[in-house]
Parts: sequence; C-alpha cells; structure tokens
Amino acid sequence: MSDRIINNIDDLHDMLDAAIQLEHATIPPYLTALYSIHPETNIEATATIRAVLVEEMLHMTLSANVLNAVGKSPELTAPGFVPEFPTRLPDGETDFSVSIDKFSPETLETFLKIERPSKTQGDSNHLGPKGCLARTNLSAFQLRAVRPKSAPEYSFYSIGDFYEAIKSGIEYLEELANKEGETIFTGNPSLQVSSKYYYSGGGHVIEVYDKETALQALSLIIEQGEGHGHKIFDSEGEISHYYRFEQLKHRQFYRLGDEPGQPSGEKFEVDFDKVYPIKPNPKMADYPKGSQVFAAASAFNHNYQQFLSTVNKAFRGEQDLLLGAVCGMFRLKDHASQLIRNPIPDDPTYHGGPTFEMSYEEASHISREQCISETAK
Amino acid sequence: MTNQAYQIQQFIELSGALTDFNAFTLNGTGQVQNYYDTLNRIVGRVMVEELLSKFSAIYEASTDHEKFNELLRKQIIGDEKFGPVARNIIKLWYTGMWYQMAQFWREAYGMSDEDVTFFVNSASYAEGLLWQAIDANPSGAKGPGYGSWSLPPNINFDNCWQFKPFNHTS
Amino acid sequence: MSEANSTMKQVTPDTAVQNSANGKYDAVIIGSGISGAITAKELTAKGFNVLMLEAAPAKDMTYKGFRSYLNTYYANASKDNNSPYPENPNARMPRSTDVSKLKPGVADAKGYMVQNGPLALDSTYTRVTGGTTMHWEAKILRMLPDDFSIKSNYGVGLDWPISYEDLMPYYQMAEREIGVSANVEEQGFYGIKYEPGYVYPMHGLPPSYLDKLVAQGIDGAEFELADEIHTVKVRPFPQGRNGIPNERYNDGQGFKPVGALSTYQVEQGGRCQGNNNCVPICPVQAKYDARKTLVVAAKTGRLDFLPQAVASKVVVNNLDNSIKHIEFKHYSSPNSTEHTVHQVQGKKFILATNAIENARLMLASNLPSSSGLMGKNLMDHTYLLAWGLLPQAAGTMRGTKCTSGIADFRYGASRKTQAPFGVDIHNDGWGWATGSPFSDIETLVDEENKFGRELRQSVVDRISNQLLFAFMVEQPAQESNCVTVDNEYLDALGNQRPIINYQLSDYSKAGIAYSRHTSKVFFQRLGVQDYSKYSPLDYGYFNHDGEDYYFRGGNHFSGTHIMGTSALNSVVDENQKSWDHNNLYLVGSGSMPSIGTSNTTLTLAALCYKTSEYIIEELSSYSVGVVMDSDYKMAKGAENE
Repeated sequence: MSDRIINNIDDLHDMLDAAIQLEHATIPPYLTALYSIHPETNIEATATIRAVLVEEMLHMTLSANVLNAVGKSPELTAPGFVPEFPTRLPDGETDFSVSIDKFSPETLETFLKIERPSKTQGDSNHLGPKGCLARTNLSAFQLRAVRPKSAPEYSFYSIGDFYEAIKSGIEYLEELANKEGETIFTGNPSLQVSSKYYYSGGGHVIEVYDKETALQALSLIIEQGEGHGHKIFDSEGEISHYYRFEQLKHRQFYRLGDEPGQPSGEKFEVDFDKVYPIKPNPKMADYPKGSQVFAAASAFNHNYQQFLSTVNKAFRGEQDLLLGAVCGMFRLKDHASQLIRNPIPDDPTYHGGPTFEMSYEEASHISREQCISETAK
Repeated sequence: MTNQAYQIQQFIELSGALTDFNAFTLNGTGQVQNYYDTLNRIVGRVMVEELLSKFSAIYEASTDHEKFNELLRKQIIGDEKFGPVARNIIKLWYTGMWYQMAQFWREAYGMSDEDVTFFVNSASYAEGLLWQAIDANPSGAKGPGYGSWSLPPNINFDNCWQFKPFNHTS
Repeated sequence: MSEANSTMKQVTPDTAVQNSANGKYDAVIIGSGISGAITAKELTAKGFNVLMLEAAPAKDMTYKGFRSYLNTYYANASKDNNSPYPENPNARMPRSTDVSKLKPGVADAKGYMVQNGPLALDSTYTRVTGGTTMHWEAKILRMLPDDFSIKSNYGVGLDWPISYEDLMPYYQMAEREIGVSANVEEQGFYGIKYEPGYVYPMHGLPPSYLDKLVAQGIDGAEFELADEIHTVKVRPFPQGRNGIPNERYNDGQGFKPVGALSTYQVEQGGRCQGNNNCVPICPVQAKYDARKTLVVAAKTGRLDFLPQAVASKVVVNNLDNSIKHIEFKHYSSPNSTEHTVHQVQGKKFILATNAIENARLMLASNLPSSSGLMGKNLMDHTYLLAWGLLPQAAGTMRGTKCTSGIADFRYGASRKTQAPFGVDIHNDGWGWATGSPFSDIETLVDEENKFGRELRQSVVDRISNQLLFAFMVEQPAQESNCVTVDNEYLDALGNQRPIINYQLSDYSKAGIAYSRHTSKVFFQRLGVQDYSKYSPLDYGYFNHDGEDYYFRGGNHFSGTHIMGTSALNSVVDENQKSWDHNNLYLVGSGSMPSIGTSNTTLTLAALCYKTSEYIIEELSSYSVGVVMDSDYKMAKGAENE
C-alpha cells in the first residue's frame, strides 16, 4: 500500500474536517479549567489559559479557512463533532486522555501533553504511512484526527505528524492539479473569515486562497501550539502554548533568551486551592433530574450547541454572525461559572460543571425557557 | 446535615425570598459563605440564628406565597430589630456591599467595629444581583462582548425564587 | 497578538543627573500622559535621546500592576473617576469626592486643588503613569472649524493662531496613534472635513439599544434659535477604543489595534467588550491609554524613564532667559515624604503635565510669563445633567459609557449670545447625577421598602429605563478664571498646590439654561418622567433667570498657557513654544485658546504632533557635529550597558 496519507481531495477534506474537530476538542477542557478558578485569584494562570483558549479558537478558524479554500464547508453540527470526555490523544508511542476538569496539577500536565512539541518519529521501523504507528488500543480513540482515513488500522504518532500529513497532502494534490492546469483551491473566496470578524488578540486570521496561504495558516497552528523548531519564542516574540503552560509549572515567566526549563522572568503564585471542585468529566446523569443544577447544565449544553451552530453558519458565509457568536460565548461563560459554583445536590463534595453532551435529535425542540425555568427542588 | 450547613441553607432560602433569586443563582455568585460569615461577624451569631428561626417559622406558617410575603413583611421587614438586618441582606446581595447599620440600630443592638460600609471582597462587586436583574454586566467586569449593547436586554424572571411548602426533612 | 511589550528602561535619579550633565538628553519631558508620550515617541523615533520624569510610581506598566488598579476599583466603596488609583501624598490628585459647597469668601483646601471659588469645580486629573488617559472616557471628537475663531466670528473668547485646516494632518496622526473607531460618513457635519478618501483606523462602534430608542423619539425635532432652525439627529461618537479594524485604512493597509500591555503575553484588549467602565478604568485595556504610546518610545532604547520624580522648579538662565535646568524631588516611597532634590537638563524642556500642573509648576517657579497670562484663561467644559425614566426598559448600563449624542447645538449664530453645547446620551444611566445604580438599590430597599419580586421588578423599572443627557457646554476664555499658587498651600513634598479660581459667565449660564430647555422637549417627545433636580445645597448650584441649575466639571482643563500670535497676547506660539524661553515648550490643552464643544484630547494630541515636528526640525537643524556627537554618545551608552 502507499505510504501517502492523502491521495485525493476527499482525503484532504476528511483530514481538515478532523483538524477542526481536533482544535475544537481542546476548548471544553480549557474552558472548564479556566472557569473553575476562583474570581480575582490565579491572575497569571487565568491569563495563560485564556490566551491559549483564544488561540485554539483561532486555529479552528484557520482550519475552517483552509477547508473552505479547498471547496468544502466545515460541519460543526455533525453528530460526534464534540467528543465524549475523557477523550484520547496520541502522544508518541503512548497516549493520554483529556478530561473536563478543574484547574489542578494533573490538568496542567494534560495541557502540557496536548501542546507538547512533537517528537518526530524519524526513521523508526514502524510500518505503515508516514508519521503513523499501529496501536493496540486504537478503538479507544474517538477523535477523527487520530487515524488516517486511508489506513484506519494506524494512528498518527503525534498531533504534529497529523498536521504535517495535511501539509504534504496539500502540496501533493496541488502539484497534481497544476500539472493538469488546475488547482485544488476552488473554494468560494467570500467564505474566508477575515480578521475583521475575528475577535481579539491571538494573532490575525489568515485568509486562504492558494497553496502558500494554506501552508501559512497550517504552519501558524503548529507554531503557536508547539513552538517553532521547539523554541520558546517564535520569530515575532510570541511564546508557544507549551511554554506558556510550562511557566505555570515553574511559577515564573520566560524571557527572551531563556533555556527551556529555566525561566528567568517575573515570578508569580499559582494556588490550586483557589479552585472550585468540579466533578471530573461530569455527565447529565450525575445531576439529579429536576434540580436547578440539572436545568442549568442542560441549558448550557443547549446554548453551547447553538453557539456551535452559529459558528457553523458563520463559516458557511454568514460571517456577520461571528460577532454575535462571540457575545454568545461571553454568556456561556456566565452560565458555566454559575454552574461551577453550585454543589451537586446529592454529592455536595463535588460541584457541577458543563458536560458538553450534545443532543442531536431533540436539539431543535428544547426551548431556552424550559431549560432555565424553575423546577421543584 | 451539620447545624451550620442547615443554617446556611436557611440563609440561602431567606436570601432568595428577600431578593427573588433562586438558590442556584445565589450559589452561582460564589458568595454565599462570604455573605453568611460577614453577617455573623457583624450582627452576631445569636441574632442570625434568631432571624433564621423566625424565617423558618414564617415559612412553616404560610400556605401560599401571598400569605408568606405578608408575614415576612410584618415580622421581619417591619420588625425594629430584624428589619434593618434584612434590608442589609438585600443590599448585600444586590450590590456586594455591606452597608453600615443605622445609628439607632447600632446603639440598640451592638456596634461591631467591622460595621462599616465596604465591599465584602474584590469579587463581590461583580457578583451583585442588580446586574443580573437588568441583564447587564457589572460596570467594569464580565464584559458581554463587542456590540452586545446594540441588542435589547433579555430581562426575565426565569431564575426567580419560588415559595414552596416547607419541608423539614430536606 | 499581544506580545510582551511593556519593558521600560527605568533610570535612577543619579543616572539621569549624570547623563544630563554629560549632555545626553536632547529633550527632558515632564509627565508621561498622552502629550509627553506622543512627544517622546516622535523624538525617540528620530534618534533623539529623551529623559522623562513622572511624578507617580510606574508599577502600572505590568499586567499585575494594572490588575491591582482593578482590584482597588472593585473593592473601593466609592466609584469616582480616580477610585482605582492609589492615594499618593507625594503626588496628589484632585478627586471629585473632595468637593463640597463653598462658603462665600472661604477657600476650601481639603482636596489637592484648593477651591477659591466663587464656584467649586469638581474636575479631576490622574497622576499616574499614562496620566489622565487612564481614566478618560475616550470619546474623541475633532473641533469644528468654527471653533478656532470664535472671537472673530462671534465676539466671544479668543481666536487660535492656526485653523482647522492647519491641524488636519495632525488630527490624522492623532487618530492613528489613539486608534479611533468611527465612520467618516457619520462625522462630517457642521464644517468638519476630511482629506478625500480618508477613513478612520477602525469602523465605528455600534450604537447602544438606548441610543436607538432615543433616536426614534427625538430625531427630527426642530428648535428655532437666533433665526436658525436646528434639527436634531442622534449621531454616534468617534471612540478611542478598539473596534473592528477598517481594511480600507491607510490606502488599504488596514490597521492593527493595540491590546493590553503586559510584561508577559495576555490576550486582551483587542476589541471593546462593553464593560461599561471606560471611566475610571477599562478592565481589558481596549481603550487607548498613553502607556501604549510610551512603550513604543521605550522600545527604541532612547527613552530614560524616571518615575517618582516630581518636577518642582523650572530654573532660568539669566543671561539669555533660556531654561537652565529643571529641579525635581525624588521620593523613594509614596508612604514617606523623604526625598532627594536633583537637577536635570537637556537641549529642550517640554512640560507635558496638564493644564493645571504646567501652570502650577511655572508659577511656583516664579515664571508668570511676560504676558502675565500664565495660569489665566482657565477653561473647562461645563456640564448640565438632565435625567429621567423612559416608559420602557432601554437596557441602560450596557455598552461603553457613551456611544451617541447630538451635535446640532454645537454651531450657529446663537454663539454670539449663548454658549453652544454638545449632548451625550449616557449608557450608564443616572450614574453621574445620582450615583446610580447603587443609589437606586438604597432607595428601593431603604425608602420604598421593597423586597422579593416587587423589588426585583422595581430594580428593572428604575434602572434599565434610565436616560441621562449630559450637556457639554462651551466655556470661552476669561482671564479671571485661573490657577494660582500660594505658600500657604503646600503638598507633602513642599511643592505649592494649585488654587482654582472659577466662575461661570452669563454667556455660559445662558447656554446651560437653553440646554435644559432642550432636555425638556426631548423628554416630552420620549414620554420620559423627568427626575432632574438641582438643589441649592449642591456645590455646583446656581440660579439663572429665576431657574435652578447645577453644573459639573468636564475634566477638560485647558487654556492656562494659551497660544497666540505674539508674546503680548499669549504664553506660547503655535508650536507651543514659550515666547519667553526659547528652549521651553508647554504642551497640552493648556495651549488651547478655545475648546469649542469637543473633548480636548484629540486636539491636544494633534497639537503635540505639530509641536514634535517642530522640535525635531529644530534639533536636526543644530550643527551636524552636534547630531553626530549625540549618535556617538548613544553608541557609547549602548556599549556601557
């Protein structure tokens, strides 16, 4: 079999779809950890997670721009788009699971793993497509970004390898197309999300029209996550996600010129006690039916689903909706914070948390009023 | 349930009745314990217990919300001793700020050194219920996002407090 | 992208003194507000070395320092416009909470500014790094072309030595630096013009829901005034805060907004979130403040920043009347008055404190200007507030402080007899007038005895329905309104404090009275229940033609060192250069001979660009040897670091 992962445009579409799903999958864990922190405490940790979260949203947007550029619309509302937590990600030879949980030393370790610079597989003896290996527990992986479609019995060695595969796929397909005097960049340019609509910080959105801009967009994703060439700061002086989180571990900021593991900047406090005790990977089933916590968690899920659906429309041409979607995001924050500050009625050592369980069948029938309104206690 | 946990639950219910926000919303401010402690520190444990048991008695004696409100007004809001405390609880929830008690009350029922006007903590300001009531963000915090101000406010009473027949076992 | 961007090279007094003795500094700038910051940025960009003295500590350049302002604000029971900023006895600032009703003939010295009356002025400024832009509202209007010649046109106040056209290119520079969000097509009225094809750096902020309700009610209302019809139209204001960048800006280059400052990377401030707290502090730093300009100057490596240094005396060289040096007092902690006294010098001295402090420092240095006008012609915008309840929930208390207003009384022949005014629709409701929304809760609970559902409903009706118009009335120059100093009033470091002598003319009062008249018509059209009250006990109270009013200060101090056409009629020339001292510049709104009905910041920033251009020309025209000498020293300095 070919060790090429992307052999045709469908493969590419599939991989980019998977990239959007992957970028989104980090949002619920980051969001929950962020809102679990007591207000006005852990200023630096809050700023760090927030900054990374904003960039993950940028990455999702960038992936959507690339997908639109090669002629397919993103599908954020498809069943299974939001994974069930905990969900697994590859980490070289091993793997790890990502949970919806409070901010804690363990969560921080997970975040470091998510953003860890990819250890390229090099010239190892693994058979199969480039950047892939066979895993014994493949069935435990739920995210599509883990498995190449053309060789589902394999999984990517790391997230970095996944993006490298997309990049080489684009180069390969575009070269083929060019030989025929064609291009794979056949998407409608008006679907490109511009920085006009992108909310705040986190680098600017790259509009994708050709191979060059597509590779730029994908490289930006890789760089912001893992850092460029495993360096702490990129050429513009921006620090990568991995090292941002590492600062929290060291409780000290990196400065330009520092060596990995040895930050020399300002020191600060991280207080893991100033955090609400969210039940790890909460499910609706954990909340007593009829309780206010149940109602609020269910309303949150409904609103989150609406948020995704708005973003989906925005990626499909209704760009103006992005501004409103951002306001929706702010409201989601308030709802999640309330939930996180409420003990679970039957299990008060734990607090509630958003479950991010999407209900695809009845989505359209739930009205907001029903969800939030008072129910008997 | 420990005595304190029971007291706090009663405090939440009393606060709900006074402010018209349900327990979920009150808990959602993250301030229940802080406000309960502040109240105890300034007006004293004995008075807080008295107030809460009076509240329980009113609750038990009431068959419906109307009757409950009437008793609440006469026996707590309109009470020389408890009225000012109840009004301070309302203001505490709505603004995040403890207001110094009136002079006549201080002379009659004790002058705590801590009884000055202050925000309970730097987060309590942003948790004032008044902002939720009008669907606005607290001035200076929780910015609702670019352009949100262009839409009409979504003011509703979905998270209101509701009178329910009192249940001793809960 | 928010990179780590606020590294500032701070120097010690000894280093500054030594450097200045070695002739390192092309300019010594006093004050790190917007005027000082722009001048420093322009000069350092051209290779000149600048020393900047700032009276306040500089912790606020870090994100943590900024957060501590926020915490102070959240926890402060008072929410006045200086409430986030710590008390500092060594560099005090005026606070509106210090102002109370004056007794005739008795000066009130309890605040930093001594109120000598007859009226008390509650305007403030902020003495922190970044100056008053830390608490400014950031509505950012150009002046009307008419405003530059009110003496010639209407026989009131003073004329400028330059025109709107002269300032146009500098207005553009200021709008770029501040990052103004506005739509040109909504701003070109009553003579305001723009270069063809000009667009603001960012698109205009959306108007509030409240604005739209008000516009529905009053757009098209007609007023006859001095035989002219004024037709009302609610219009959005240009804003000095980040919105959506305009892709057409700068010939299609677009614009990159500047977010929050921090020594490490934070993702904030890229776009206004509607925190409704522009005054006294924007929590996400989407609002422009001068620190954003300052850090660019600092990045050149040519800005030496010396905080906790309070300029105390400007010393003149008797031979040629040039400035010899500036004396300053350096304190080691705000908690102690212990300080050391030093002198610094440079080729140019630039006083960029503010209209009050510039004049105060000059007067304290015994330099009243050969024109005798130092400190005189003190102006401010006088505000009348009118407030009431709309018949429906308007979503008040959301958005930036103010998104729209009315410009239709800013112009016209009536300016001969009564002061013109602009109108703000306040998204923060009655806050300015009554202390709302907290005062509303107190009233509803303590006086109206509400609780439960009835209370919650009343909170909605009493707050979300609020409407407040703030009428910003022009005050023309008048010499009797002035800043003075007296040894009787000293601050903790022994520096003379400013004494404010302030009165409203009949011209101002007539404008205020007419603005009140328009408010009544607006309320009638909107079905608003009028709650306005002007108590004789209020410190801003006055009676005009039998009616009660009060006024509030606009925090737009200006005119204390006006520019003019000669040393006889003014303190500075059109480049803000002192007529008396050829190496001294007094910059800022103090140079403005009239202020029209525009908030002063954009115009004073534009003036700073004009002045910087002039100073750069002057510095560059010195013998080539001098410039090379300074380059040489720069290189030397870099080696030694």
